[in-house]
Amino acid sequence: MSDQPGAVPASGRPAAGHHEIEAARPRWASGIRRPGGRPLIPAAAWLPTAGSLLVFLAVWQILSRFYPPILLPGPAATFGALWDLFARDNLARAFATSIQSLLIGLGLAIPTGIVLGFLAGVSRPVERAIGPFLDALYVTPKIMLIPLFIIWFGVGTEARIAYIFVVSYFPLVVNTFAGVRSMRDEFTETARAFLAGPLEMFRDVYLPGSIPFIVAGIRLALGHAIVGMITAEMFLAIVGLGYMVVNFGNRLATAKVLALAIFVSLFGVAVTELVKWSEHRLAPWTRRDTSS
Amino acid sequence: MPGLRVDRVSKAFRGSPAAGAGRNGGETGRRDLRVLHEISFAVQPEQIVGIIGPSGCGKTTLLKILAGLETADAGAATLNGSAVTRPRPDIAIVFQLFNLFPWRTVLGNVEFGLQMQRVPAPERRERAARLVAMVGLAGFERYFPHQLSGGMQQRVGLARALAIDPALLLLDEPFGALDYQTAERLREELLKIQSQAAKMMVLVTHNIDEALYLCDRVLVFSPRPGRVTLEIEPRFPQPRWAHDIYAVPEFTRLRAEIKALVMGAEA
Repeated sequence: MSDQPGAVPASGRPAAGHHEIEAARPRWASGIRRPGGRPLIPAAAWLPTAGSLLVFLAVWQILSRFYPPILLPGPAATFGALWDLFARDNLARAFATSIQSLLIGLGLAIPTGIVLGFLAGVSRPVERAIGPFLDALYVTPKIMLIPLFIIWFGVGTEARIAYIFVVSYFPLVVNTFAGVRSMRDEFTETARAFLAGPLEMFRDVYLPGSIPFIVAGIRLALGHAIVGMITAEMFLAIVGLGYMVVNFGNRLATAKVLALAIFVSLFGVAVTELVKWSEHRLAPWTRRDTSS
Repeated sequence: MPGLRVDRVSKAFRGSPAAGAGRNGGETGRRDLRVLHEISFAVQPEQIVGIIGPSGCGKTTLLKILAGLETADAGAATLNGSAVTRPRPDIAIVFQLFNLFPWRTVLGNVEFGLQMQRVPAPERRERAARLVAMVGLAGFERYFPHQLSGGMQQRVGLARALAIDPALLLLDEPFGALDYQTAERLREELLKIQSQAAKMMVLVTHNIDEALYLCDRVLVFSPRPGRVTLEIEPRFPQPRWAHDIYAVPEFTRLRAEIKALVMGAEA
C-alpha cells in the first residue's frame, strides 16, 4: 500500500494518474492471480489444524494402550474397522439409504424455510404471527416429537423425512429473516431513487443482500439435518447408518461404532466445506483479504 | 419550461419524538418537527446550485424531496415543467456514503439505474463501461466496492448517477466522507465533467469552500426550520479548476460572509 506506480504490473490495470487508485489496490488482487506465486493455502493456515490432529491421534494411540480394544480401540484398529465397514458390511448402501431421506428432508426445508423467512422479513404481521411458533420449535427438544411422528407417519421413510425437515427448518427461517431485516435502508432508498419496482427490489436488492445469511442458514440446517438423520434412523425403523450404529453397538463392536462416528463427522465436514465453497461462488463480494 | 423550480416547499416530520420538548413536561403528546419553511429557488439548465447551512437545517430532506424520495407538505418542485412527486428517470442522486450495492461489481453498480429503466443489456453495458472510464476507473469494472478506496467508490457513485443521463443531478455532501486531497481532486473532476455534460445540479454541503468553488449560485440556509437567508452568485475566473480560486480576494470575502452567517446561526 504505497505510491509505487511501477510495483504491480497486472492485467487489466489502468494507467492511472490517480494516487488514491494506486493506494487502494487490494493486495490479494494481485496475489491470487499470480501464477506460481503464493501457495493456495498458506502454511500458517493449515499447520495448527494438522498439528492438533496429530496430537489427537497420538493421545488416542497412547490411551488405547491402557484399555482393552472393546473399551477403546486404537486409531489403527478403528480405521481398519472403517475399511471393513466398506468392504464387508456394505456401508455404501446404508449411507445411500441415509442420504436419500437427508436430501429429501433438506430439499423440502430449504425452499420453504427461505420463503417463510422472506415473508417474515418483509411483513411485520407475518413475523408476529409465526414468531411464537418459531420460538416453540427452537426450544422444544425435537426428539420428543418422535412418538408423535410414529403415530402420524409410521416408522418408515416418511417419518424420517418429516423429522429431518423439522430439525433443519428453524435455522433456515431465522437466517433468511435476519438477512432481509439486515438490509439497510440506504440500499432500499438508493434502489428506489433509481426507480426499482417491487420485483427489482426483491430480485436485485433483498435477494442478493440476503445470500450470505441464507447460505449460513443452509450450513446450520445441514448440521442439524445430519444429527436428525442418525437420530431418526436409531429411533424409528432402524435403517441406514443408524441401523449400523445400533447393530454394532449391541454386538460391542466398539471399533466399528467409532469408525461410523468418524465417517459421519467426515461427511459433515465435507458437506460444510462444500457449502462454504459455494458461498464464495454465490457471494464473491463477501470474500475478504486473505493475505493478512 | 426548462429548469428546476422549487416553490415554497415546506416539510415537517409528524410527531417526531426528537422535537418533543414537552415529552416529560406539561405538554401533551409529541410535536411536529418543522424542517423546511417555504423554500423557493430556481436552477437554470447547466447551473450548479449549492445549499449550505448548519447541520439539521433540512438540506438533506430538501434533496430527498427533489429526488422524489420524500414528499413536501406544502409547495412543489417542478423539473422541466412537471412536478416531482416520486423518483423519476431524469433525476439521479449521489449519496454522501456512496450507497453502492456491495453485491454488485463496479460495472454492475453503474448499470443499476439503466437496468431499472429496462435498457437492454448490451446497450447498458456499453454505456456503463463508458461512464466507468470517464470517472477514471477503466480496468476496475469487475471489482467489488469493498475492494476500492472511498474516493474510488464515490467515482462509482458519480458514474452510476450520470449513467442514466439525468436532467438533474442531486449531490448530498458527495465529498464529505473523503479525505482532503481526494475530495479536492474529485471536485476538480466534477467541474470538468460539468464542462462536458452540462447538467443541472443541486449540491448539498456544509463545506463553504466547496460550495463556493463548485457552484454558480449558493443558497445559505438558516437553522431548523430551514429558510433561505442569503443567496450568492460567485463570479470567478473560468475554468475554475485552472485557477487558484481559493486565493481570489472575492472568494475570501464571500467565505467570510457565509461563515459569519452559518456560525452565527449555530452559536
